[in-house]
Amino acid sequence: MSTDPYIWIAAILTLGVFSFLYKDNAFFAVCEHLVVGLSAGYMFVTYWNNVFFPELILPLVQNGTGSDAHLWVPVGICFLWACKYVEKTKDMYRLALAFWLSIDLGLSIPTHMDAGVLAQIAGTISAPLNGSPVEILGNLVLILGTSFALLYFFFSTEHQGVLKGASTAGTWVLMVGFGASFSYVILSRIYLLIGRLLFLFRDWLGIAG
Amino acid sequence: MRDRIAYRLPYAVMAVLGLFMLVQYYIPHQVVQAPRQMMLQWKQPLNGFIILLAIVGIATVHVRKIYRQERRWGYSIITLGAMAAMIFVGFAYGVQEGTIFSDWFKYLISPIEATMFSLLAFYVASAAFRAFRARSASAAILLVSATVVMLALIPAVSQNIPLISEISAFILKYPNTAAKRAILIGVSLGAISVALKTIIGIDRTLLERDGK
Repeated sequence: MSTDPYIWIAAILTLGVFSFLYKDNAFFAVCEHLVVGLSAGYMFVTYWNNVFFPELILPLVQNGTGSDAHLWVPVGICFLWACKYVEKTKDMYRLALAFWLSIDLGLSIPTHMDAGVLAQIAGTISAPLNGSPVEILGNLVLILGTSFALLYFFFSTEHQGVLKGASTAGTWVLMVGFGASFSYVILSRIYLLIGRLLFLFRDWLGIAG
Repeated sequence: MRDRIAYRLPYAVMAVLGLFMLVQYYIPHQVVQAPRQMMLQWKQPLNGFIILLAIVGIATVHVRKIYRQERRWGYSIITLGAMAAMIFVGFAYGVQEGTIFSDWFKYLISPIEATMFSLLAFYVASAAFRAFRARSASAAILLVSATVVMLALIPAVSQNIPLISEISAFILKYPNTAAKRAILIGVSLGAISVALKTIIGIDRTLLERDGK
């Protein structure tokens, strides 16, 4: 059995979370609220140390009237954002939100178009139809499967005749994908469970090899 | 008049900056790239500030809960205490490996979060039991695909059943990729349309004032 107090605390917290399998109880609620508080504190310190201080406060303190003077603009935007919490000025917050959203949304359009649409179409239509029989079959499945699955999401025309057959084949392709993803989710959770049980039986109690 | 400007200005900012960020992607000239770089530099601390505000928001909610002695207010003391303690050790002792801050992350946050995710194994298994029933052709395909991929990932099975690893690899490489690609193309087209509608002001939900 471990003599490390940290291992004991971690083991007690692990048991506290597992106690939820019986029912929602005070032990679990303590662990739940503890992790919310600790995670919030962790994020606060991490964002302060890695983002807010080195990228805004430090450059402004060192060179706020020189080449980094433009950083007073984000200070102003931060103030506008904080206006949300004052009743009389809360409308100003929309300006900061507009700035923040416009950068993300404007950047997302070409990025999605390049990586999410054009690259995927290029990857699909350029799949080579040569090589071993398995590769040829696989690439045919890839080309037709992507097309059929896309047709399943095409709602501008009623799915009848050829379109109905293609969209049904599309659902089958999607089901194969969902099955593969679901099996990965199940196994990843089971691996985590095995990890926690190993921690309890090996690291804490010392009864497993 | 003043109210109308206050209402419309954010939409104007959104349109001008949003279209600029869209167009700059295709113009690699310094005249366009320099302001782009500057705006990205402004956005980083703003992201940090928003996270800090969100954390202050969590603290405010719990302080209010304690002040009003709402239901389960005692747990809020734990949340606030843990938050304050974590912030204190982070600033007082540093955040490097081997400090109290990193030890608390390793022995307090990680075990709780890992155990919470591992709890999902029970609920996912129960969901799988309900989902994996061959009631229709689609459900049967889901069942077969998931079973093959899952079995192939278990060493004892993949070593003893011939071809299962190859079939699993085929599923993951071809039909799974086809499904993922179709979904990704659909999601991207949807995201582009939402972004464009928001930038040019057709969709105004994100910048609405008090839900009006």
